[in-house]
Amino acid sequence: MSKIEMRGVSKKFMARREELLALCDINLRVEEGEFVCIVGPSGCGKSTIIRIIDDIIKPTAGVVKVDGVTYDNSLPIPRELVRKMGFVFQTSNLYPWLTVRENICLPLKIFGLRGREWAEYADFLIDRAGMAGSADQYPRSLSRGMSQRAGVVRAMVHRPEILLMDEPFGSLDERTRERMNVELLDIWRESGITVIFITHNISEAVLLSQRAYIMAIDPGRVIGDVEIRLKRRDLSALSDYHFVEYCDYINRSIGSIGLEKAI
Amino acid sequence: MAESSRIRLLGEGWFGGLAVQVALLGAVLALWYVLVVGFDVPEWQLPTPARIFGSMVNDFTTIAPHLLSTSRNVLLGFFISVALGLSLAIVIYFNAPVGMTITPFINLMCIIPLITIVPLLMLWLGFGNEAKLIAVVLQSFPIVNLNAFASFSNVDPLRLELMQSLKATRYQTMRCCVLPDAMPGIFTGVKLAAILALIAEVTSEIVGGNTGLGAQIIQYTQYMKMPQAFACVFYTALFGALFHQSLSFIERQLVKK
Repeated sequence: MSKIEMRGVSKKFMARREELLALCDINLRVEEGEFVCIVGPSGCGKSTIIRIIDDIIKPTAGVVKVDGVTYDNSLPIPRELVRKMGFVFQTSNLYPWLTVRENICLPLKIFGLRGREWAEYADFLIDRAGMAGSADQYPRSLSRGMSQRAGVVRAMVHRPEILLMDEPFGSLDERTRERMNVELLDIWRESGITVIFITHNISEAVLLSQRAYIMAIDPGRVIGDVEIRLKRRDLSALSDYHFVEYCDYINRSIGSIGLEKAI
Repeated sequence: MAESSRIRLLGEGWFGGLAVQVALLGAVLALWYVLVVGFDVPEWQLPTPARIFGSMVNDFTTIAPHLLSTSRNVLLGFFISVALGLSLAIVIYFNAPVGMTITPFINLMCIIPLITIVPLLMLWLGFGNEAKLIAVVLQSFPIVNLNAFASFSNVDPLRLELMQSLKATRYQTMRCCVLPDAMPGIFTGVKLAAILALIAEVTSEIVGGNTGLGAQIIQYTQYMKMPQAFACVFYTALFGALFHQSLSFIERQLVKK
């Protein structure tokens, strides 16, 4: 049984009294412990897909199945399922009135997860992310990279089984992004968590994922998926022949449906 | 260069700001004194600041019960207004149909000049504290409500999305996200309400009533006791300034943005 499955999912938005088809007949599967990237041009509905999975927005049609629980546009998802998912936003989305530690522990407060065990786990993650020194500061004193790191820790503090990441490192400089990617891979290997990672950066998708779903625009749809088998998943893979081939394949797939139209 | 750094030093920090304010106030009082003495203005028209301060000290025992009555009504009315304004804003935020029904009436209450309804309140409720209290609440709660609701509505959608992602309850969303995010806007309304509450109370006392600083100002003016009348005006201003500063202090403690 797949960890996450979307069948025939469509989403329409109302824009200026006109219906806009953002997603059309999305079908995808993610296995347990898999690292999947969804890659495509801006505006193709990548972020909408993980918001539908996380039940932040409802699909217009189709069903989503997560960990054996099915939901659609009429059924709310059970609270136990919410706890199995962690969401990382494009920006760190830390609350400026809370300290870094309070921000990180916010999901524990919302889910009512009290006790020493949870506090210790939060401290462990803060320490692991190298944020012990800044945990009692307010977010305004953090760099963008550190803020984003806090956003990732917050998404993991309640021990989710699925991590949904919406272009989390898109606003970082190249060097910081590479470092964060490597750290994310370490976390994934250690925890065995299932990850869906949204990006428009093809090389990032190839470096990180075991499978990449390729999306096209107007309307947003999946045009294919590619299984990525790299011998190594670290920065040295960037110069690997297969890495370049995968990037080229995805680039041509997106280009074949008219990248110039998307841009 | 030296000139600009001296100007910066004068107004720098809390103490610097206070020093500039005190110096400005001293200059205004000195000018007042010079003009009254220089032009030989009679006391029944405008007393010197020294006579007013003298009256503030000498007539304190006479003025104190009225100061107490005014401040009690203002504080009570203010707290009722904040509680009512905030609670209604929360209700409206979560129930759009309720909001669409009652918001026009709240807007109307902001527009109607208080002075037009105080005589009616006195007619219905008498010259006691009830009419004044209602006047204070009617004047100050709409501004709390409108500012609070506007601030709730302008909460960053991404911050709300985090709450949606965690499937937070309405109570959790309000407590952990909406209220803290809206706090600066709420305090703008609360501080305006404090000013309006004092204006409403003194206006009501002037229109009708035997107690309160407003009533005393009218009484002293009728007997040409201008130093005492001005002493009441000064006490009113002093109370207003202290009230406002206290709220600013609370705001600084609560708003961490």
